[in-house]
Amino acid sequence: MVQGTEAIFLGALRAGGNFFAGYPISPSTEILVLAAEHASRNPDFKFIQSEDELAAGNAIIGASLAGAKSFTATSGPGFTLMQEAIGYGHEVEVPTVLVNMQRVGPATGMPTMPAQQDVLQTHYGTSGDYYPLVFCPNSVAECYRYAVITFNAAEESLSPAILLSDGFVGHLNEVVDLDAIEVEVVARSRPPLGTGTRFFTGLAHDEKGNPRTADAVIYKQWLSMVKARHEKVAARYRHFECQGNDSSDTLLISYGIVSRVIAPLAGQFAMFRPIRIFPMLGDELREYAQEYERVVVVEANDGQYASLVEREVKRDVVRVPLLGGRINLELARKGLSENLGKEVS
Amino acid sequence: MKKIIISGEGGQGVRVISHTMATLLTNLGYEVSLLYDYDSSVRGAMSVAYLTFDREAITNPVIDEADILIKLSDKAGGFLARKTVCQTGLCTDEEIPFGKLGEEKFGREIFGNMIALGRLMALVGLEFSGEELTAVLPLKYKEENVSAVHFGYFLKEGDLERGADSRRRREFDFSSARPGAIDPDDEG
Repeated sequence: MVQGTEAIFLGALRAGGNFFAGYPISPSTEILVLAAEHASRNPDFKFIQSEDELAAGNAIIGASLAGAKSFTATSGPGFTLMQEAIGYGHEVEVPTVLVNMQRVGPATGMPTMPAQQDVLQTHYGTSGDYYPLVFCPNSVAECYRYAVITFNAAEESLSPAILLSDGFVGHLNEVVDLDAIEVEVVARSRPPLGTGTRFFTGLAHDEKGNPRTADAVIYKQWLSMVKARHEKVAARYRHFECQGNDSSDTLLISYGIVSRVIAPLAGQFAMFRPIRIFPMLGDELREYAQEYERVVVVEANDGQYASLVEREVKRDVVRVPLLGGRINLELARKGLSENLGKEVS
Repeated sequence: MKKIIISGEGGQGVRVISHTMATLLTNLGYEVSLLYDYDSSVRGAMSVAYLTFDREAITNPVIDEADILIKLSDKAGGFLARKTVCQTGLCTDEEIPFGKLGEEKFGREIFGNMIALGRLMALVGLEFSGEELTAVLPLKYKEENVSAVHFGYFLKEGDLERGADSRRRREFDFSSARPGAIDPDDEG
């Protein structure tokens, strides 16, 4: 048996991760502990327990600039503190990986209770326009696979990429042969530090790194280039699962642990599970949603992903929130029954 | 598919019971999912383990209604179960004074969790060797743990009144005399 958090750490190692910085926070702490233990036995693997998440977020960017494949693991409040570093990472075009094991918020909230309440924070948490690549696993095997893929996406997009999980998936133990999981590893893409004059600035800059703080032309060229690169990388990872149902007029959308919990409803509804949460799987959502009269998003927040699905499919979406860390099939059935006006068994 | 919930509070051994059981099931060739659900206070606060096993892959690891609920404390409540085995005073199904037995028979209250594990193994109908059990038990107090599991495994109605045999033996049999056992592979 392997636990989700352990699978993420081992996936990070498989991807070539060799620098971890973090601050303990439930329910992600196991990853930090594993990193500390690993560093104690492997001098090539570097570990910092930083004074807070602000420092951890900046440390992984510094380590990446110096040539490391770096990563951190945190949860909602820590992820909030890392937002400034995430923005800096996008501006400076630094590949790094942030693992967010979501818990109930806002703020300190319910530290060990699972949630999916950082969906919007993941995409809109820092300032400016940016295009994060975000993946959401729903099993221990996927924790491993998507840890590697998140590292790959970071290298390919030259930006911070996010593995967005939750307390239940992180604390789930399953029988998995990790060695049997085949997944490609993308090599380090950015040369360490470079040579000659170097300037890594969070200010808008030209291609040599010189600040260009009032040049709209250069800024728009840069943003266009970054956006195109992210779209190209995202196209390689159109990862989702769907299961049609000719006898149903309703499509259920769920992700992460909720998709496991409501899997027994597949006989009654069509199902769609995004694995790449961002960029949104707009084309895929529209294609499948058009076949069904109703679209429902079941998620462990108050409709965060539902609001984005609504924007993509351009019609009303039914929200079934599972809140307060209680995520189970009975509550999902109850929520569906209330919102669909019929008994869901 | 069989679904087991072990409910207690931090420090009682919910994790030890569930992890030991899950590891044994894994070694016996089952698909297993084990999910921990606990409060951030940890010690003294609610701690729950959802353990599901089957011959097929498991879809939903969160249990709504268990086949067996082992209830060591009332810190977490509201679980539905077809069969409940509880610390005395916490249910009306099968009450066992785990902590008291642990202290009386093996010298420490904490061995009550191994007695609960033995009772759970018997109810699930698992058959395994003493070596297979020894391989998955915690290293510390291993001999006492094996004895306590054996005690719980063969605990029968009336034992509590008579005082069950807790003699420590080197060879244990976990393949017969399982009162109330269910078939682990029965889909009913």
